[in-house]
Amino acid sequence: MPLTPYTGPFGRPELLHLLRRTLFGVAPADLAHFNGMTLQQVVDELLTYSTVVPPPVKAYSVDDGNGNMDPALIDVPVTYGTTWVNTPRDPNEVFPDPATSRMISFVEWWSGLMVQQDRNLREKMVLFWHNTLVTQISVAFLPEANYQYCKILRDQSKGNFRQMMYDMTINPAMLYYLNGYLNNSFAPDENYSRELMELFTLGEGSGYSEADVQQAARVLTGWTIAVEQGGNPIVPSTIYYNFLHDTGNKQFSAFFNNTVITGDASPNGGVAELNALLDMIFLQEAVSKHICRELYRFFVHSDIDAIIETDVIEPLAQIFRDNSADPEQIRIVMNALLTSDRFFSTEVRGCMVKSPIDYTYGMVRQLGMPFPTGGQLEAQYSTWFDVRNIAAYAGQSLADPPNVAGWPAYYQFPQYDTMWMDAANYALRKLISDIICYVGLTTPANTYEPQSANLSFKIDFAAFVAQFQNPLDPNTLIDEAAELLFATPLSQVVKDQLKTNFLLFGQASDIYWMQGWAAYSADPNTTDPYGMLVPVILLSLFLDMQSAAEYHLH
Amino acid sequence: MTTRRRFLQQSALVSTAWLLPSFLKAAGAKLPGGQRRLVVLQLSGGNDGLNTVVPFRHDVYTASRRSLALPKDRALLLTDDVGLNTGLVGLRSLYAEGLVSIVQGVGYPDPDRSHFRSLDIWHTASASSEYLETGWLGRYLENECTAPHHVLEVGPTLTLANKGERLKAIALSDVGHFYRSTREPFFAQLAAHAEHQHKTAAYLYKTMAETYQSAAYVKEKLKLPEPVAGYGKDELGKQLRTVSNFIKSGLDTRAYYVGLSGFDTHSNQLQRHERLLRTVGDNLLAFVNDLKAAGELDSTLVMVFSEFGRRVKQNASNGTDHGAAGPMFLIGGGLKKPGLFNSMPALGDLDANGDLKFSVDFRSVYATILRDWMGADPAEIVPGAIAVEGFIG
Repeated sequence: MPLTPYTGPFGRPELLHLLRRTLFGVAPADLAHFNGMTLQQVVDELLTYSTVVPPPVKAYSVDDGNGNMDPALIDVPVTYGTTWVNTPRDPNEVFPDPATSRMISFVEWWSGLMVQQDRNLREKMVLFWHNTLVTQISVAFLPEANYQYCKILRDQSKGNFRQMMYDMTINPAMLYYLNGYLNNSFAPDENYSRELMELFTLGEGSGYSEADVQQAARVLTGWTIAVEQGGNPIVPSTIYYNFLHDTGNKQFSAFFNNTVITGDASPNGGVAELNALLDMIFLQEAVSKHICRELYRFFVHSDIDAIIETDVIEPLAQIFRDNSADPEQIRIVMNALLTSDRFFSTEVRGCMVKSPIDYTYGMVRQLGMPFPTGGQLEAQYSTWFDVRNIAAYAGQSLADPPNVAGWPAYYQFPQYDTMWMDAANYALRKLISDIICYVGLTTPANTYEPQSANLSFKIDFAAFVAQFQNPLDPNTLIDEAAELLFATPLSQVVKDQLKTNFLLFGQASDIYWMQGWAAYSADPNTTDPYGMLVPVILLSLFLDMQSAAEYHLH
Repeated sequence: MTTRRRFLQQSALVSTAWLLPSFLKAAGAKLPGGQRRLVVLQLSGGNDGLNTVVPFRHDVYTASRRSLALPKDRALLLTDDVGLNTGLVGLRSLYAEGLVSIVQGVGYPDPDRSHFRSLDIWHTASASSEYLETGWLGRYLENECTAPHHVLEVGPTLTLANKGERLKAIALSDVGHFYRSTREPFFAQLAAHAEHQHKTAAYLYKTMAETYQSAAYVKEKLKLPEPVAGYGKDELGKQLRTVSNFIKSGLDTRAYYVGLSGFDTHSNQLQRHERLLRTVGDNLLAFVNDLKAAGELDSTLVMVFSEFGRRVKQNASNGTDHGAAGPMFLIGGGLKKPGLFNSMPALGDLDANGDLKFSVDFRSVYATILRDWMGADPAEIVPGAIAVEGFIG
């Protein structure tokens, strides 16, 4: 059975649903941009993106002891404002530790790419892969290798999955994270081979055996990490040592048709056997189904019952397999999923609990939080870090998931995404909404760049509603605010009460808001008694709307 | 997989039925079954049982762990054959006071060596082949208690063990902040009147209602903590100090849940493991002394577990890989048989993976605690498990 395409109407509710699931938050400008396009046009644009982004740069410095921040005193080989990703660290620099500065820089940079994302699927897709092919910076603390890891996710986010698995298997951050660098013929380490089968490709319970895990570990022996070459430091790099490779034959179980991977003692043996292992694993349909289930859970809904398995997962997995040689295999699969009938089914709209990253980055992007410009490098990196840490506070640390399986809300049956919201998290999210909407973001007093010090960034709610179709009308203002903030429709009773209690100062007539908005929009320094109150009224309205349960859904 | 749909439908039905009254309902109903409480300490990552309760004289042990075996002079002796890891000096002194019972060889049939799956099994008290949707303390909460805060996890998120189908425990790390963040906003009152046909929205409103109610109760009851010596500045120290403050404030919570992670010692295990165990032992000593001084020790039982033990044979990275059975610790004033409750599983009779075979099913330990300590009916909470006799009471 082929995957049923969506043929229903593609109006504002459908566009909003599509954008909520593919971007971090939907801003009024995003809606305006896609307005009037067909579903396929929108999906084409979401799936057309450059994977090339500038790498993280040195925006860090340390106190010189006299209260002045000096970048020349840390990570000396790298010039301020240029990238560190290809420059070996000086092993003599121990304190202050350039590795920590680079790692923070890496996380800030990644967060920044999400904060200022373009109108396409790239950043969501990178997050999906990060949750699927996990490394944790708290375990694999190798900033240059972590950058390379992220680059694989980014470069191949809509690419070919087998190629991605090949590159990921021998990525130095992954080699470190799952002990691949310790896996050799004298002491096989099963950590990576187990997760390769259990979490990355086949899925637990798909039929492989404990012995298969052990055999795969033997196949993967010999790959390790080099940190110097000829006595000189290099950035952590993958290296293959023939003499550490297990050259015996590897016998797999009946699940893999009793495949034997022949031991290869040649210098190319590691590559050849890795390819043979991936070929053997990718022959199993379980791989396509496993990845398609992961995609479905991330982008559509956590609930996969027998009907969804037959009607959606199997046909999607067929598309995945039919395009297994295509360099844009994942793009083809995502195109099918995002234009499928199931994706737009009312059952799955507005029923997914936002992850803390969706919640935080979505709020910042939707409401138009201003950020520092390129001339304020330190301020940029520090505010990006703040956003990342706010989401981490609510339970989702970018670059550092809790374990190799990723965040439990994406795999923990049967709660899945409802796990993001328990009593503890509800309280945290209220606080986050207060911080982002009321307190805003600030930069440190002591910076290297004078133009980055003591800055304050706040959301301008008047500017936000000014982008609405007719902000003068309190009725349509509430309609549009509700449409943007909630994926489920609000009843007229609730809308009327919001209007009365916030926009009309508790009065009955629309004129109170209209007078205030007319005065404020003409002159933000107006002395009109209603006009003066516009910013605080809008802040209260949005803070309150964000406390609704519906706000946590998308 | 149909179970999840049913689960959500049911929670939607339940929550719409009691949504509004729950905002108003006073929390803190009377506790069933006396005032005893349980404190669960989860050691995440798979604690190496053999280097925790050390059989230092056993040939298989010394031969399997060339660089990791702890000799007699590096163990805190319990008997002529068995000692505790030197990190557990705090626990050793509690042991000397007769406040510790060590149950060895705890596990389950067909052990799973995945952290996540094995934790699931421990959390849900399922069989290895069975997938349950609720945790054992979550089911206890539903069967025996009336308010979410009767099971309380100290930490940012709620563990599966503490989730029931209709009722979930609460998780919190900072009471003041927890309370401040849950003042009822205008919108929540409004929206609670609206019809919630959507099951997830209904779930969220139910969570909100429970949050308000529990936050208000805890805030009202909580006294300012007095400084107590001995706790570490680490996460576990903070968590146990918080639990002690809750207990001393007279909260009617029946089970507390705390945790320490980092036990996945695949490489360079020796010092790391000792450091982790020191954190455990020192903080438990401080906690027990704290409760003793407050007269709360006899009504408190601490249960320490990990999702699995580690392989008998060490690996080449001076660490150990995922194994099977391991020891559990029970600590408190109400133990019937303090000391080594049973002997270690035979080191000469390992399973096909070279791991210890279990001799006590962890579900029996749960059932015993539920029946003999919590006064609950284990049949509904851990079906099929057989309680152990002569353990606690």
